[in-house]
Amino acid sequence: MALLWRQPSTLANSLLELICIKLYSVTNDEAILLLRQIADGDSKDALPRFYEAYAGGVFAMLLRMLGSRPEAEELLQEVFVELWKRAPQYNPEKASVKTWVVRIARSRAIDLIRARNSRGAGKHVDVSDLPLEADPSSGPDAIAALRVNQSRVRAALSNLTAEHREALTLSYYGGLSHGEISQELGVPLGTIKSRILSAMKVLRRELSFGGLT
Amino acid sequence: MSAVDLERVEVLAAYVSSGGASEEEVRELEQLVLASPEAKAIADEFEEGMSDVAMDLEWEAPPPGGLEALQAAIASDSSEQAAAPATSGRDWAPGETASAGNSSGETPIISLASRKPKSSKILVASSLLLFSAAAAMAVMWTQERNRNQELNKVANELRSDLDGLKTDMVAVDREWSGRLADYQEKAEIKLARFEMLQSPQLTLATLGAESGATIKIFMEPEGKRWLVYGFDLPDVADKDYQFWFVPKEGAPIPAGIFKSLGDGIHELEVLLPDDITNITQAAVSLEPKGGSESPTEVQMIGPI
Repeated sequence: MALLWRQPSTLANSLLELICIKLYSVTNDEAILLLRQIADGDSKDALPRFYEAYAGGVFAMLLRMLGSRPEAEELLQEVFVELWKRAPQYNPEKASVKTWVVRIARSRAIDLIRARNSRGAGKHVDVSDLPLEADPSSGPDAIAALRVNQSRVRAALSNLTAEHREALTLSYYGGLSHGEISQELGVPLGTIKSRILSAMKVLRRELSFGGLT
Repeated sequence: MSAVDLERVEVLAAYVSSGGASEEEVRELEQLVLASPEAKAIADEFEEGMSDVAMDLEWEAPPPGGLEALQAAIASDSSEQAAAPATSGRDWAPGETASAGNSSGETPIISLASRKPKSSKILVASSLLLFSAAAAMAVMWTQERNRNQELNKVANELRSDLDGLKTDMVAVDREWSGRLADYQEKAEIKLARFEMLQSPQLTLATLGAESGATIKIFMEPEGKRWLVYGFDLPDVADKDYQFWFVPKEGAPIPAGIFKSLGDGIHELEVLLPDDITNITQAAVSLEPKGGSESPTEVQMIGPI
């Protein structure tokens, strides 16, 4: 299946699209069910579906955070082994599956970044701007649902100023504290906090979450 | 929870969900979340929102063979984890099959020896030696397995105890952090009042009543913040003492309900609104619980 969607024939495109949406885009309820099956030891059917639903997003996030493909590939596997081990502990009342996955992946990546920094191995801070335009070549063409979500997030980010995106990128993807961002950019701490808060207000408004107005 | 607190929750949730928040900010948000379901809902929504951003912003094809490597890693991990319980569930162990066969008197070794008693003495001796070695290894393996099982059992019990202790420690830490924050807040209020009362520029006004009750009004130099103490004001059932600003012209303006400190002493902190500038007198009245819109039983009134 993984090979099929990469080079879909024109005639089969519509059918593949339907199949791939089903295969790669799972609702939270479906993801909870998959996690329960994984917790019960199903690594043959449930685990591949879970991996296919989340690995692409997690891998992209790790690549952006680490800036190294080999490290991101290695950490991707470690993250999914950890997800598999912790599947029995997942509590749907505490967070959605997506948030749980992001929490674990981001935490592992930040651990790696900090270990790397403490070794003096050179700090990677990706200050390149976040992608703002919808990019049909990014990700499997057949996954319409994924493209819709991506367009929505990128449109929301395009409403931030470059300074706000920079502060948010360093904070979320760089794993830097507000104080470290302040030092990195040579800008007062209060300004950084203000930029982060403004950025989050815009994202909240555009993506309809939280309570800021 | 007040609106001010929820605004603070929103700010903290924005900081924490976007990463980069300080430990103090994370801890403060945790305490607010514990104290209020509304705060928890806001914090959850922010984290969910940022997860959408993180997961939906970009998509990158995972490395080829990644899933297969993951399944292999999991299978390897599973077999390591399952090794002890799997063998403990069996009623045999490697090497024990030979001894089981031996007990029936029909092992291949004996049969081989009986078929070739003259030409295979060396072979029989070697086989017996091998058999003995296998049996010894089986005994050692069984002892090792039993030892590992015991160690695993003890380790699991310790791990369980440790998890319980960690959970307890987190609960105690949260409880005491909450109490400490309360005490700190109260201490800060007292300290602020103490500092205000120490100010040499403080202005004092006194009101008196025939009953002997007195009211002391301490005013900051700017006159915007007043600390009001009542003495010899007996507590009255179902009634509150209420403080009033009395302007030069117009009706008295309600300024707050006194808090009883016991022994006839009452306390009230007042912030004078910016739009009230022509106060010439102050008054204290006895009102139904919760106060009134206009004074009914005036206890004392006087210039300030």
